[in-house]
Amino acid sequence: MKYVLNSPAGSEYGPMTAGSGTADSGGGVIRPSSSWAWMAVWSALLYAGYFVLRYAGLWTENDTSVFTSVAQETLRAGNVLFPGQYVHGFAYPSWLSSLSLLTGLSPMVLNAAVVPFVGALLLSMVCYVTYRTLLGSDRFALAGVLILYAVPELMFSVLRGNHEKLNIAFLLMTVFVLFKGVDAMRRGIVQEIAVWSVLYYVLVFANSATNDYFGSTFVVASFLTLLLLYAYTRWRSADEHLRTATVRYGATILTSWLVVWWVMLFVFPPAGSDFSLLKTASQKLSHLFLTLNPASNPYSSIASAWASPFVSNLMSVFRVVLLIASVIVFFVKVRLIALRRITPSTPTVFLLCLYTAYAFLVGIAIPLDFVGLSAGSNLEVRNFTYFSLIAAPVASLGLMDVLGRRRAGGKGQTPERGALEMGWFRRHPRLGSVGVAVTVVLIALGMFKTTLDPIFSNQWIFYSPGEKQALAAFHQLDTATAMWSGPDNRLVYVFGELFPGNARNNQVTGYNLRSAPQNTDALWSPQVVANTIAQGAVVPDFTTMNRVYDNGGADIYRTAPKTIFQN
Amino acid sequence: MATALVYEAPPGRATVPVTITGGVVRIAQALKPIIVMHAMGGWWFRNGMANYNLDVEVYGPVRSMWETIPPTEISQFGQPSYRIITRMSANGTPIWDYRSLIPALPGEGVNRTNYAQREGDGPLKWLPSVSPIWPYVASGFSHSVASRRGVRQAYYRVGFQQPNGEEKPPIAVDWLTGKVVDFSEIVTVRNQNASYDFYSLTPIVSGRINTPDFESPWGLYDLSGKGQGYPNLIIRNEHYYANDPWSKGISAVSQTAPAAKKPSEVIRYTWADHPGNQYFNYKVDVFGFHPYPGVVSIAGGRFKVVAPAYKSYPGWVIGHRWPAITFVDTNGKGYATSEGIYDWSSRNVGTAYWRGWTATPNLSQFRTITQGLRGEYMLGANRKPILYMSPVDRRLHLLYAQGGLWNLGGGTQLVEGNLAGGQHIDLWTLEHTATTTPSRHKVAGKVSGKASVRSSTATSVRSLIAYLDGYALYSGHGRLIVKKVGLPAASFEIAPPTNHATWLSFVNRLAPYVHSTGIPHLSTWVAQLAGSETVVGQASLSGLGSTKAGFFGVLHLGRAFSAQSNALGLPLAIRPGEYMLQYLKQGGQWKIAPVTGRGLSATVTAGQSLRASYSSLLRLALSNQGGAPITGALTVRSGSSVIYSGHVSLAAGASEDQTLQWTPQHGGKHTLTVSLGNRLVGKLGVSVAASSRAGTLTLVAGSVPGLYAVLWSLGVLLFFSLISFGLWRRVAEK
Repeated sequence: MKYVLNSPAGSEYGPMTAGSGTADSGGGVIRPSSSWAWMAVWSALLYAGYFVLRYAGLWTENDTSVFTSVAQETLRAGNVLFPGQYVHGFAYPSWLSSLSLLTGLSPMVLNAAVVPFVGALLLSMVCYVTYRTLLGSDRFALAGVLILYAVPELMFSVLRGNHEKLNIAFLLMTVFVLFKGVDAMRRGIVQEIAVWSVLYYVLVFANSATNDYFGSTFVVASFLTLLLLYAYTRWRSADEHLRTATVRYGATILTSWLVVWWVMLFVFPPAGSDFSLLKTASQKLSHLFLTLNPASNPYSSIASAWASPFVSNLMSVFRVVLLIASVIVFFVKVRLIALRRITPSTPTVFLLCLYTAYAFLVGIAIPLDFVGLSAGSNLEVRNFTYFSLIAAPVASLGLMDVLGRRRAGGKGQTPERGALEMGWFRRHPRLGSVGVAVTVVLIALGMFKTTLDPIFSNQWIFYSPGEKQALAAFHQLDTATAMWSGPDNRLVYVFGELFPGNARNNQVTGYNLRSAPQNTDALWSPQVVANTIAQGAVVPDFTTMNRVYDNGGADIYRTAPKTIFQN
Repeated sequence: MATALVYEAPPGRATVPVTITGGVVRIAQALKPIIVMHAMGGWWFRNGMANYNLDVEVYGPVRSMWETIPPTEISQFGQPSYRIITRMSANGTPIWDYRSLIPALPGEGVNRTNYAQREGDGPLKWLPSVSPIWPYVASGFSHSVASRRGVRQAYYRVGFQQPNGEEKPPIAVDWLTGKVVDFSEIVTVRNQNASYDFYSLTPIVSGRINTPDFESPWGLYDLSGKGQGYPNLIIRNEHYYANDPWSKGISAVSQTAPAAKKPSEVIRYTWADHPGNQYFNYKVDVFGFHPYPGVVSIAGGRFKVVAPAYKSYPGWVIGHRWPAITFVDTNGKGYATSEGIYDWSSRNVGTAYWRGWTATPNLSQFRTITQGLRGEYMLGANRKPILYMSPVDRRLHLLYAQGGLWNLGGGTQLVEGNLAGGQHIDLWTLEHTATTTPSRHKVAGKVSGKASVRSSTATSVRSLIAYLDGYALYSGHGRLIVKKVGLPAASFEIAPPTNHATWLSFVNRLAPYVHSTGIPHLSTWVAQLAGSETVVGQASLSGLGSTKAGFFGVLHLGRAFSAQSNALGLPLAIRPGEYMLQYLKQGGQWKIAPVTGRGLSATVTAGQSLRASYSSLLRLALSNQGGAPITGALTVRSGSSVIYSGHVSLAAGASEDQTLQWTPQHGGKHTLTVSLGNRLVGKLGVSVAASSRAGTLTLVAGSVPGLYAVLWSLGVLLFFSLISFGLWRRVAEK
């Protein structure tokens, strides 16, 4: 077993107060740092295992279906440029199709049963490494990872079959590289500066090629972070080297915009269409602020997706807890810094600046959501997911102060002791156990939300073998026919995955039976009926239709003709 | 084979830069030809005849096809935009002209093949070229230039189409800019007596059997045999083969649906009762799902297409039965067109209806028509497009027409109806729609003189005439006339002409019937019918209906009504007021009874147990148990929400069933009420079972596939056990 002692406090990142690593984090007992890392790995595999096995791999949703189809089309086209390609980035479908060629597994199986494990592993490992760097503690790096497990929105993004698992991994890697780059710049080690800068560009390229929105968002966040870091160094007149490094590395970030534009304009020209969103967004924003009439309200109908308002609130509770906790920690830290009661370490300052930058992105996403952009009206939700990646280590930083019983660092340091340390916690040593139990409960609760479990959710992602068989029969036995399949697009996504080219010109539709006038067929299954009732939608009158197919688990009904045109 | 390269002026210049050295003309190497022409036989002009056996490639933004994407959008550097093949007869007349679009343009609904085939043999006048030795460059000006400079008399107008009876050189140049504008059609589609043409979205290529779509084929015919350069029958067809992806482009509704699985065609069959002069008199417009009958060779056998052959095409259209037919009569005025009469397309009954997605057609297009035209429509039964002559209005009608409209202008229109639902139009109502606008004075007095001016329209019936069970009924100008005529409802039946013989027959049969285009006086229509009659002054008739037993209507007798004659013996010894007039065929009886509206009973039954959130069918049984017909607005409600509203018209003793769709929103007792106007005529209490979210166990079982449930449960148990154990160990170690 390899024993690793964390970098000595203050040796690398200046005044070291953000945790002194594994050497003392457990009360002075030296532990193998790999055991914490293994815990991160195993917990990720367990989480992904639950996600995949909950429905025996029979699950899908919008993005998963879209990217599975696009990956299949990529394989068919043998090219990343083809009609119907995902226009915001080609990397994820290309990666998925490459994995398919490598393993011989279909993109559908890969996306539903294999890639979730990869996504969870990427998240846990990259988070662990990045948090460990920023917090200087294995234990609290793992705590940060576990906090993320309790954020179902993030876990859903990571486990479902879309580009976000790569974007999140790239984002955290870029945070790590950014921090290392600034530090190398501060220390003036040219070789390291070169390596970290090149890595930064590579990661910005990878992130933009995966999704130009997330790629450019991170560049904005990086720039804001360094801007804040620079403001801090000016304000506190602290660490002149850091100030210089910030300015110099800022140039690296600014030039990384060229990488983003290069991807959008030359590497993958379809992404260039996203530039038009800037104009639309500015027009709609000015309309919103001039008239205060939102074009859409994406926050109005969230409760209807859950079994009850209580469940809706319950499922969102940890989001709020994390937000409040991180905000408290942030403001306490900022107050202590302002009062000069502590001299924070570089990683701590960097983390707080990063936190502020992402909070800003969440803040500006809210009015953008209200203007109803065609590219999506859920930017706040998406940005919050990324914000939570930064909020988790901030919350963990608070936990370190509360539970960490850290010692002051080496010479010349101003201890942060007492920043959040309260005697009450010291008198209740079992509080840690309670905290662990609460974390487990929150993670378990989050897992229900991540899998959109039908016990709590009205919007389901699973499908039954009978439904899958009925969809296949519909595709094989008929042509140019439209079939209703439930109160939402649950089975539409399955059909899209199963038959991406739809060579037989059939169509599966969702929502109201009559919302698509072309529906002549309707799929019945116990799941369809239960889902329809759960969503408060109308169950079609199957008794007036002719049953044309029955596999025991699902039926297909056809509307009886009333005119000669309906024959 | 001779080859010619055609250059146009490069950007920034109005002439082609050439150098002439020792009699050799040289063009800058960087300049690429915009047209490459190959002449079969290696000659261009011989014995006064231009060689139109041409293979042509067009490279630049030169309009070379009819209504395809703008040429500037398809011009590709170094790649041809269009390929053109033309061939001529032994006497030098171009006989066919094939053009194809080269860029694939996936997803763009544009013509990819144009094909025109000369079917007539009229003489051609050859228009001059700029060069006597290479006769392909038109010396004319584009239309705008010709107009601007006032030189139209001196130079002919160039453009894409060939003029009637003339043949101009195909390369049209804008001489002011030095650019080639058009490579004109060489065989014209429209401006000749007869042609067989294709404008297809799906390309027609050699080496396979093609299934062209969109305007495939056009058929232009000279049925008179005396054509002067224009057809007098145009068959314009919009056809899509089964599962044709372009069939989705027909309407916005279609674009989100699968392509139509059946072939479909909508055909404008427009003809004139005189030799072709660009003006037409009649159209039948048919829509249906017939596959094309066979394979036709075109372009001298170079291409094979699935289509009706030219000669049998008119018979193919008129001989088939169609589920939607319209008929348009220009009433002798003539309608100038090169593509057929556009009004009242038979397909415009709603995409959802003809695609079979709904049982209700959209009849809104049949509420208006171009002034001077009269249209009729027939839907929902497969029938041949047969016309008949009515003895009432002495005009042609569509057999089995369900309604019609004649726009007489000035807000006046004659609405045709088919009360009996039979073969013939039996009701003509002369209506006037008046639009009233508040006077400026009144409006100005409202809000600072800026009040919006709202106009309102009101339609009033001026007179009507019905022809039911051998009786003509006229109501108008304060008079009611009932006349026993006894004539058949059709003087003769006739099909639209398909060849010279049937055209002659058609013209001859219609010759005695003189068209008048003014507002008809319906009283004169009754007057020209012979028979015994009853005439009542200060009386009118409305709400006419027809049943198997006879017909009925609401009789309004004014205070001073009087029977001026009563040869039919109507029981008119009654007081002024509103009565239900009824004629019973059996025994030839007339009945007049007061209008009460009573006697309607309604029962609602549910054929199944009702559940909240479940769509269910209700059966509404209506029965007129009174002694007089009943008409009015019927409403079915559940509480205050309306389940159904419609119009009911029931003869005495008649009954009617209707099926209603209802989705109860919640469980419990519901009361359904049926009202005629404001009067309650039926009531039903129904019990609706509640629908609630499925239980937890049901949901878990339903979301876990079969035997996998056991493994799943064990897995979940293991999962949580491991996590708990691991965490417990960690905590315990501390």
